[in-house]
Parts: sequence; structure tokens; C-alpha cells
Amino acid sequence: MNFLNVVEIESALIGLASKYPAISQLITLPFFTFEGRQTHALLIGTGNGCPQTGVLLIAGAHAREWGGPDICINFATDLLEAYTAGSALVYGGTAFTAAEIQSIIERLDVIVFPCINPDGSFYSHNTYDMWRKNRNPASSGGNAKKIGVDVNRNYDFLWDYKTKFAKAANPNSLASDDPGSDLFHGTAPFSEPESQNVRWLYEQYPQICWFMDIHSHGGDFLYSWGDDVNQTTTTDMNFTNAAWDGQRGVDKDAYGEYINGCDQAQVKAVAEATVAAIKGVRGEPYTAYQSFFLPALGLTYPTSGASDDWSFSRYFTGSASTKVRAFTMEFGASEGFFPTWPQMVPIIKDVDAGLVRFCLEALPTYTLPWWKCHLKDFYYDIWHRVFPPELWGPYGPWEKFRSAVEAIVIPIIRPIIKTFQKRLR
Amino acid sequence: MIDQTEESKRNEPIPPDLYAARITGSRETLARVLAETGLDFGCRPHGTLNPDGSSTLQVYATEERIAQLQAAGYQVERGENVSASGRERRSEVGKGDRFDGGRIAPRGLGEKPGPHRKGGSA
Repeated sequence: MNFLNVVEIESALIGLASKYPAISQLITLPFFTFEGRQTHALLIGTGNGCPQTGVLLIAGAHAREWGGPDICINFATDLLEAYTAGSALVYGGTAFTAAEIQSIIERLDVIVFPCINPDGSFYSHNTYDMWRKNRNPASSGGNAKKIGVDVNRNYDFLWDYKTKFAKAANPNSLASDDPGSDLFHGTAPFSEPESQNVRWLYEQYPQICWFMDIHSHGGDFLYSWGDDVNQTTTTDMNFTNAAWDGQRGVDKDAYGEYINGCDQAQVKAVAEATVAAIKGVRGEPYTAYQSFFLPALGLTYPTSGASDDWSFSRYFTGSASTKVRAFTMEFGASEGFFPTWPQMVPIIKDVDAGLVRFCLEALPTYTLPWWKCHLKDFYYDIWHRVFPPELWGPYGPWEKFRSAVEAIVIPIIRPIIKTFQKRLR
Repeated sequence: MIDQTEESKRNEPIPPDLYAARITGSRETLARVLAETGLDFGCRPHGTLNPDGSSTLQVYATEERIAQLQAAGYQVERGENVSASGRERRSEVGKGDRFDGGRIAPRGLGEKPGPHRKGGSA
């Protein structure tokens, strides 16, 4: 065994779809890379006549981060093999029962897109190992040093960093408009086929509610937001509000990115459960934290145009009817970008244990039979017509009203409740 | 399935080797390194807090750049030549197509103990 090359990644997906036709489906992505490669994803799940809660896992955005595609292929293979055999799935000290694997396959649509940037991967595997970006030369002006776009700065989340972020925000983390930079964000949001393919998956599979972008290295598991510190109180202080342009990306200032308190609690809990599963394998201490921060250094790392924030943001911009809880994994620690294959095998087991746990966390509390599922779609359609998100959504006037009332009422009610509780004791 | 493109093999100048380097300093010093040097910090910066209160940040830089940083007063320790590691590791990337265009399916690394109720392929 050794690392998969870019041909083998696609062949592996085709092989799995052929071997397990009842529980997997090959997805051919429509946008060809600059070098003419076509990529595939694999949808895993039996379905029950209607779309199940979707989990999208992508890897390989940064070419030099070897092993991400191998993690995804192995994860898909293990799920399919364990379900078919009716067996448990064990990674070192972390074990999942056959019933848990069955739940994932039968109650989720897991979409695995292992190598979104095959041109970059091919270049890293064969020519220049430390290559990060894709291989699009459109902005290079014929200069080989200026080829490529950082795919993970090309998504439509605060992409125009010069307008959206404060001048004091770290320019070496946000993005760059210099094609020679490793952070070059392209000529427009979604200018690149690699990010277009990810967007296409969201459009084709609107049931996607969970997302993970797999990178290396560091042993981190990151949750949104990545542009500024999270805050749970001021709803109109958010990425859609142009009034806050030029003020984002700096810690301990006026701006903080709004996140609903329940959402924040949920993403933290899921992140903690995922790193616990990873640690259970052989004790690797992955850390879960908000992606804006660099906790070990006490510093910040604001980003624009990243896949996780864009995925999470879609609900708030009205481009998705379901909220996507989005995360970024930085696998491996001291092994760097190029672990040996014997070093990579235990990393694969670590991360795949985390991925299985992540899927279990994504399981809906209940699964509807097919006819109720269609009834639900009909009901939601009516609901969204009667209660449009721009009025009743998290940034709408209703939420502002609710927050204002809450700010007044809760300080009044809280002492009353405490007094009442004391009397009860 | 055969990779038909040779685009990536065109004759391009390969940048000089990069080394994993460790810069140690105060929080303020490392904040300045992050904001002003334009160094390669990997996918995202990583560092460690040292017992004396200083921190160490990992970066990727050429020998020349490391020398410049040292000359500018930064405490920089040169580590592994990561470009050389990458070149060496190329021998561990698959050659050809072990899955024969999808006629062979991969096998997973996870253990699958317990009942094998369904058997065979689904």
C-alpha cells in the first residue's frame, strides 16, 4: 500500500460504486479542471425513497497536503464493507457498532469528494511537492511563479477581503490578489472549477446539512466563523451587513460575527465529540476550536473565501433552505505535509474514526418514511412562502424584535425565577 | 483509467528547497511575523507555548529567507528540508492504477469484527 495517485482516487470511487451499487452511487462532477481532469464523488446511503440528511466531506483542496484523499477513500470503503458484512467498525480504541454503521448508511446521504484539486495534487506528486494551489494559469501572465489559485480562498464568503475586512486584519491569512501568492483568491468568487464543483454538489443535493473540508496538518478541528470572533447577541452585526464593511477580522474590537447561541453550542459539541473519537483510537490529542483563533499562540487567523464559512453562510444569504454545520479538519501533527505511508496509516484510522463519529452526530433525531418526506417538502414550501426567511430568519426583523424583547424581559424575569426556585427549595 | 495530461510536467523552473523552520519569540513578535513577513505558514499557522512564556511558530522558508530573518534579529531554528522529504516521499505515491479503472475496489483499513450477516457485495 501507498498514497493514491490522482488516477487511482477516481478509479477507487468507480470501483466502490460498482461493487456496492445498492448502497452507493457515483457522482460525476461537471466542471473540468484547467488540465482537463474530471473528478468524481461517491454518494453512500440506501435512501428510503427520499433524500436523507446529507453529509458532504471534501479533501485535496491544497495539493501538498498529502493523505486527505486517502482518508476519504478509506472512510467510504470501511463504511461500505462494514455495512455489507453487518459488522462493527473498529479503529484502535474507538469502536462503532454494526447498528451505528447501519444508521449512517440507512439514515444519511454521505457524499465523499476525495480530491477536489487533482491538477494540484498531480503537480505535487510529480513535479513540485510543496505546491498548494490549483494549476490555473489564467492570471499568471506567462510567469510560472504566478500560476494557480488557492481554492480555499475562492468561495463566496467575504471574498472581497479588501472591502470587507479591517486594514488591521492580518493580510497574510485573509487572501491575496497577487497571483504569485499562495493565498491568491482568483479573479472572482467561484472563478475556479474546483470550487464550482463543490457548489454544484450543494445545488444538486440540497439535503446537505453537514460539511467537512479535510486539510493538513496540525491536529485541529475547526468550526465557524473564520472571519471574526463569534458573538451571540447582536443579530445585525453579521457578514451580510455592509455597514460593518472594513471592520472585520480584528479581535477585541467592535465587530464580532453573529452566530445563534444554539448553533454555536451544537457545533462545539459536535467538534468535541469528533476529536474525542479521534483521541480514542491511539491517544492523538486533536483540538477543537473556532477557526478565527490560533489558541496555542494567543493570536488570530481571519480568513475570507473559505469553504467552511461559505457553507455555513449559505442559509443566511438565502441560497440554501437548510443550515449547514461546517467544519475544517487539519489532520496529522508532527508528520508535516508528507508523512511516510507507515505514518499515514494510523492517521487515516484516527481521522476516519472522527468521520464516523461526525456522521453519527449528524444523524437526524427521526427519519421520515418516503410519503411523509414528500409531505414535508410540500409543507416546507408553503411555510417558506408564508414565512419568508428575510422576515422571519435569523437576520430578519422578527429576530431583532425577539432579541430586543429578550434583552429587556430576561433581566427582569431571571431574579423572579431565582427567588421562586429558592422558595421551592 | 489513464491520466492523459502532461500539463504538469512542462518545463518550469522549480523553486528552491523549503525548510521547516521554528521562530521563537514573544506573542507580539510572532504577531508581527504573521502579519508582515509574508512567510509560508502551512495550511494555517501552528505553534507551541514555551515554559518561559515565549511561543514558537512553525514556518516554511528557503535557506536564504531564514538567513534574512536571522539577520533581522528573529530567533530562527532551521529544521527539516521539507522539499527533500517530499521528493523522497514520491516513491510512496502509487504508480499506474491499482484499481484497474474501477474493476477492483479498494479494501478498508478498519477492523470489521462481529457478525457478517449479509455477506458478499450489496
